[in-house]
Amino acid sequence: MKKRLFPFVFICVLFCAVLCGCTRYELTEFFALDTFVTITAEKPNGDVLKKAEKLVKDYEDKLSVTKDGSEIKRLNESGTLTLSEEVAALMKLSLSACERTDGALDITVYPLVKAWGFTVGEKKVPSSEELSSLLPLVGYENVTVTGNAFTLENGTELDLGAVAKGYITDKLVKLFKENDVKNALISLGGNVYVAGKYGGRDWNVGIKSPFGDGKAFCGVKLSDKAVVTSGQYQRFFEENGKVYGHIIDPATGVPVDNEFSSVTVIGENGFWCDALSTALFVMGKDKALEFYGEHGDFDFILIMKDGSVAISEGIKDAFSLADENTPLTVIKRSDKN
Amino acid sequence: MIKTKIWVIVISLILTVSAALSVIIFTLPKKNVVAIYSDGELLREIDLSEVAEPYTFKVEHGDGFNEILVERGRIRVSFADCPDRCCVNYGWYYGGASPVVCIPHKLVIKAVNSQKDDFDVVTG
Amino acid sequence: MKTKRIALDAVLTALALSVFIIEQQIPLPIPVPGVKLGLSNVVTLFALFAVSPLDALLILSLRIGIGNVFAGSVTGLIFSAAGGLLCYVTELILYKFLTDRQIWVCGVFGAIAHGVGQIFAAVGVSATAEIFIYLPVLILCGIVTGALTGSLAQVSVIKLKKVFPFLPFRRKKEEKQN
Repeated sequence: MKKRLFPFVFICVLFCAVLCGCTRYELTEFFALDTFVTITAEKPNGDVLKKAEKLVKDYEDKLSVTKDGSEIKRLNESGTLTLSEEVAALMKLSLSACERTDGALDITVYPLVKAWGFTVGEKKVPSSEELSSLLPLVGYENVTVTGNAFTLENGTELDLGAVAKGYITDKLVKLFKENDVKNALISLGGNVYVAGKYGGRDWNVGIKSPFGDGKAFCGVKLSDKAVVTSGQYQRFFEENGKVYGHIIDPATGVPVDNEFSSVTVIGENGFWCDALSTALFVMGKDKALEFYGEHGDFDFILIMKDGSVAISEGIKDAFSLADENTPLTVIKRSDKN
Repeated sequence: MIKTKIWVIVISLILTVSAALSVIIFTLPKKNVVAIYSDGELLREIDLSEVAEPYTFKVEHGDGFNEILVERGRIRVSFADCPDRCCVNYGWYYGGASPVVCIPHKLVIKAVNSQKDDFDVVTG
Repeated sequence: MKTKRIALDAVLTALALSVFIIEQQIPLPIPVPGVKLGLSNVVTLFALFAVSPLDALLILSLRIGIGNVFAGSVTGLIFSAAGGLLCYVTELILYKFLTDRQIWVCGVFGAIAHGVGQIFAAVGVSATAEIFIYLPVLILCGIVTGALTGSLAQVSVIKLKKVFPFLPFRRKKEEKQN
């Protein structure tokens, strides 16, 4: 009798053990950072999602260029300010990003952005006089740092919009880890971080088509990665038949107009992916691939205006196209060295 | 003792019926429901697969509004008076993982049963 | 006699488990959830017709329990149990009416029952009745895969009974062959 009973008891014990693996996902969505935030977490304890929402909104209060009381706004208005530890750290990180990308990413490009009417005011094409008067203001070397005190020279102004979302996703991931949440999906208006897995499999991340047809152009299966896309297909205006996007080239003062329709950067750090996606978009194809050759610690998906796409070899196996006929190039890092 | 022949007949019948049903089911259009929220409040749900004629409706928010165009299988913001017009530039929405959002007007159009994409999330 | 039976059951359980796990790696081109080859049913059928219904139940239960622990998913366990047990009950009932040369029939209905069980489990777990729409497809696939696995089991039962008469196979009253 005992020998017959044992297997069934064993099964019952195992069943209970497996049952403890039961899982549920919770979702929170809200407006913040001038965009729509979606956070899905597996087995979030108690108020982790509320803490996440608070984290995002706190950063918005500190980093916004338009909200009164934000440290960045105060710095822009007074020209010099001692920043809080947190914001100072982000500032220093951002400046190093500007340096690393040789100015393709430039957090002081705000005066130009304002001139084109993106952020506040009417969108318009500035006159060439206006542009030439503003260009000297732009340049991250206009920011001087002593400890946590920052000074803006030459009337330059800051906007951390190109890096803030990525930075915040990193903080959210850290919050989740501290609260025992291993699997989560964070999307700050399309600025994505996928932590862990979804039901045991990698997260399936789609890249929006920049050609205006509302579907995903391609997708990548990922785990524990940040995915950030830069493009001008959503925020732009038309004047006299020409299209002007919202990403201004800090060197020329005009919106970027090169082979890229969108640039997606994939990596382990949200801040760097955010910074690089803007920087590579500004650099254009040749310089971007050169940069990859030198610094290749990330993956990318470059969608060209002609509809073709180039990807780094690291994501080759996890990558899929919506349309099998899209011309695809896989770039090896060694080619570019 | 039931003869094998009888079993064969029974199974063949079931086979034919289920095959026929399978074909019918796979050629049916699937439901595709999207939900429209304004300021966090659900305004309406629309099954895009059952839209007969295209139609538009307005969603007002404060001083501004968004005009929404609904066609069979797709929906979009056809006009908006917000400064950036990202919602309009989004183009057609087919029910995938990436929602249409108008930030100044706090408008969200998203899928209810998101089986249209294979994706969990879409960047952009 | 008892030891031989335990040993036989153990071998069959190990076989069922291996097949179950390997089968999960085989992708099928049909876009319907729950479609599978059901190869472990070969073992269940074999045990049912060649050893005894009780042994078959034992092997099945172990395969479901341990196999899904290895697969690591609770929902998988629920689906596996629902499908597997309904399959077993169906096969047990038909066992009374079938000869050794009709095991393939048993396989067909077992596979159908397995699919039906899984659909009911899926509807129960996700609380969406829309899943019932997949029933015809699962039945169709069940007929095909069931005929296959049933035939495999049939061949095994008939051959092995002849080749290994010393093994503790239970013998049904030999019926006139159809």
